[in-house]
Amino acid sequence: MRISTSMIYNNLLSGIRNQQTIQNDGNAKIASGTRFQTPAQSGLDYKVSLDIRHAQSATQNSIDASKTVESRLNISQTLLNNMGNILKRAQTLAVQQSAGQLGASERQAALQEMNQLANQFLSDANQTWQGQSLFAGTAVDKPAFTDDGTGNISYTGSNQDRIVSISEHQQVVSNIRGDSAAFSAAFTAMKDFKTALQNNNQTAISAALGALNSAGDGVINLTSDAGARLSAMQFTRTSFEDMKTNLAKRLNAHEAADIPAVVAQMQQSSIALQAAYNQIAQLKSLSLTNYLR
Amino acid sequence: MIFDSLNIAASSLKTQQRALDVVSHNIANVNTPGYSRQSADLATLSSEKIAGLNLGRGVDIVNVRRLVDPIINQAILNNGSQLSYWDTTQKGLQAVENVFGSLQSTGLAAALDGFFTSWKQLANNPQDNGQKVNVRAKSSALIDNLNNMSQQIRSEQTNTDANINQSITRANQILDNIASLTTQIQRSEAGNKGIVGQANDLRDQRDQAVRDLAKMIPVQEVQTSSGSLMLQTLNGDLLVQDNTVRHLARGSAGTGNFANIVIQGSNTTIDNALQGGVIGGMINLRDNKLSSYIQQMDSIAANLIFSVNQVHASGASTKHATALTAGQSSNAALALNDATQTAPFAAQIKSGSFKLHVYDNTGTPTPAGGATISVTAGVTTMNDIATAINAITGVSASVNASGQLNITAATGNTFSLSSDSSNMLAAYEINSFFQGNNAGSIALASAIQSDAGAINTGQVDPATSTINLGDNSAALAILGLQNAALSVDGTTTASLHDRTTSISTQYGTDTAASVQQKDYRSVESDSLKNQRQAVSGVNVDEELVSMIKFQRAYESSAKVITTTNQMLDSLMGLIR
Repeated sequence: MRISTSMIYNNLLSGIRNQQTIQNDGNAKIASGTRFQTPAQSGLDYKVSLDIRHAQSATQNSIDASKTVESRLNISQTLLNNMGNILKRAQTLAVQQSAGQLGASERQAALQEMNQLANQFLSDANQTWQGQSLFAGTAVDKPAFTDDGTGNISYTGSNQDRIVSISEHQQVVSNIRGDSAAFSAAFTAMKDFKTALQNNNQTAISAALGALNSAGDGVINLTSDAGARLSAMQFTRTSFEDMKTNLAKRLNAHEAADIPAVVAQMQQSSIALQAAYNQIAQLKSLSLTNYLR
Repeated sequence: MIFDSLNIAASSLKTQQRALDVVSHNIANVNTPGYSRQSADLATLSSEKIAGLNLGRGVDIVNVRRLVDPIINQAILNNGSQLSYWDTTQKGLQAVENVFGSLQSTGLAAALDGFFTSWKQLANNPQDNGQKVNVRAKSSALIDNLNNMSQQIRSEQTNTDANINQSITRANQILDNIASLTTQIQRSEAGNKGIVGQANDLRDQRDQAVRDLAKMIPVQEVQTSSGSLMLQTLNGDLLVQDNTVRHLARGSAGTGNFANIVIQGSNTTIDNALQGGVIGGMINLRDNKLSSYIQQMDSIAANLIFSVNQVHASGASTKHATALTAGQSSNAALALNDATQTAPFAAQIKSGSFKLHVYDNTGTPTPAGGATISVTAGVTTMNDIATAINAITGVSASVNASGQLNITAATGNTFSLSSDSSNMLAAYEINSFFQGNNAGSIALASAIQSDAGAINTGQVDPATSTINLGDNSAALAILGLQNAALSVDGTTTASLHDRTTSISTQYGTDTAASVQQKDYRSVESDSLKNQRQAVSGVNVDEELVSMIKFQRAYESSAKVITTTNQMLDSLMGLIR
């Protein structure tokens, strides 16, 4: 092939442009630490990155949602534990006061304690957490229970559970609702016990003991339920945290640049570039013009 | 006889001098784009028969030839069109690269995730007004993202269309130049026989102009040795024949309301013949690439707007409304879903109903369970809706001059909406979350813009008309849209995330294809340029060798003259 003067320069220039592109791409990869940065550089890889990030976002949201459920169930469990202890103390009182040798004065004293316990139970049942009524269902701005002034306590919350979306396919109930039978049984048993103490009625006290035992079992069941759900939620959160770690690894493996390979390629390119520069510098002396003096 | 030698040497001096002129011209144009090296064709002068001998009479230049390969030139024309086409497409795509984000900031995908994350946080804490403010902020970020993307791509589309006009002007200038050069060539070569005496430099200039034109639009070329030239589009539409020029122009509105490209004086579009060149690349960019991205973004926005509004319009918060105005106008006398209604989602309306719950000044529903308003697709009008609402105690409705429905509670009363199975509320943006119908027009409902508390997280119980502060059913339903397959606009059913990643993927593959094609055409271009250079390019060393050759011949001829002169002196000395 016949070679024109322009061809010699054009070919070298074209080679230099190619090597400079390699250098520029290599610099971008080293600076960012990633194989690519934009969809223009690799459309499908970019899509996979978006998918992984989408999954990461969903996983983090699931972890956060799990924590919300755990917090609600945890505080509910604590309060139910407390209510269970109150009922245990009430049962102890009932056992003590059911003895035939006790008189009205002892039972009046027990009534004082029982009133305190009942108030504490009501206070626990109306407990709020972060300003939200814990046992009132979705009526979080209202107390779960109200006293009509005669000792009758009724549920004033909603019959709607507080649902938390953990993931696309998992929604969980994050609350214990006050319209559960265990609450009404506890309030009724305590009210009956107080009435029996007030009336110094040994038979009624014995009957209340049975009701208190039954209500205590109900509250323990609710506590166990909260505990079981809390435990399940902790397992769920742990699995999401594992998933989060795996996704982070996957994202890194997918996006990270192979730095040694990039450096090796740039080194090769650098040698080619230097050779091209050197050749251009030599070209001016490789002309017949230089010999026609 | 001695004088013959002088004459022969003189012809040589003249010829070598002219040949050296050709060498000098070649060296002078070594870097001139489009220049084809020239070669002096030397030939002996006709011999003279003297005393039975054929004696030579010297040398002359019979022609100055330019060295070209028409096949390579044709290949360069085709390659130039394709290279410009893909270069324009690639540069146009590159111009909107930032629209599609990067790993540092994934743009729409991240904004969409942020939007649904905020709804998840609100769903998990619906009583928290701070979460509603967060939803409003994340929604605004998503809206800004869609608006900006739409604005930038539409702007690029408009700029591309404007650039087509500039390219047409440039192409028309080249067409004029080609016609002018053809005229000059024909004048210069008038009376020539065959290829002898061709206007080499003018032909080079015309070839270069045709190559420049091919970079603008793909052309077919027919040249003759007489200097004539005919250029056509790929459809066969005449562009230039000798000194006759038919300019390109913009015609009537075509794809996307952009004006077609026509031959001036004709109404027939030649867009389909522009499958190459800068103009073809810009049409491809404008009508295929950018238009597709806009359509996909509009589809994302439409699905997001209507799907969210469907839920939100049937939702409520514990703060009931005192007045609501539809975001969309209607022709109140026509059916709500009549094809002529301007509301973009009117076609989504179907037979069904919605409920309106009125509350007195104590917040007590009057009556519990609210009132049902029925909608029959193809029958019920906005006037019918207003009439039905006016029949409900404690609330009134009217259709304003713009055709918008206004619902107003009586003094001290409030109201809520629920259970819309007809899509009427969402279609006319009543109690909606978003306004608009595409990526360019999407906005937050004005009520939410002014008060984040207007975001509905729950739903009124259709039986009791009550709603609890912690009710998150509407928020959960909106959250459920994140990965749900949607299609409210007739596009292929897909989730919003999939749609978002698809547009990035398509952009990426479009760019990769354009880069690959451009690289391929560039390599082809380099190869063709080298092939052309191999035939037509100037090699300075070659020219210098020729220069020495002609210089030596010139010196030798001069020596012949000197020697002949000495011979004449000797002869004259005999006489003295």
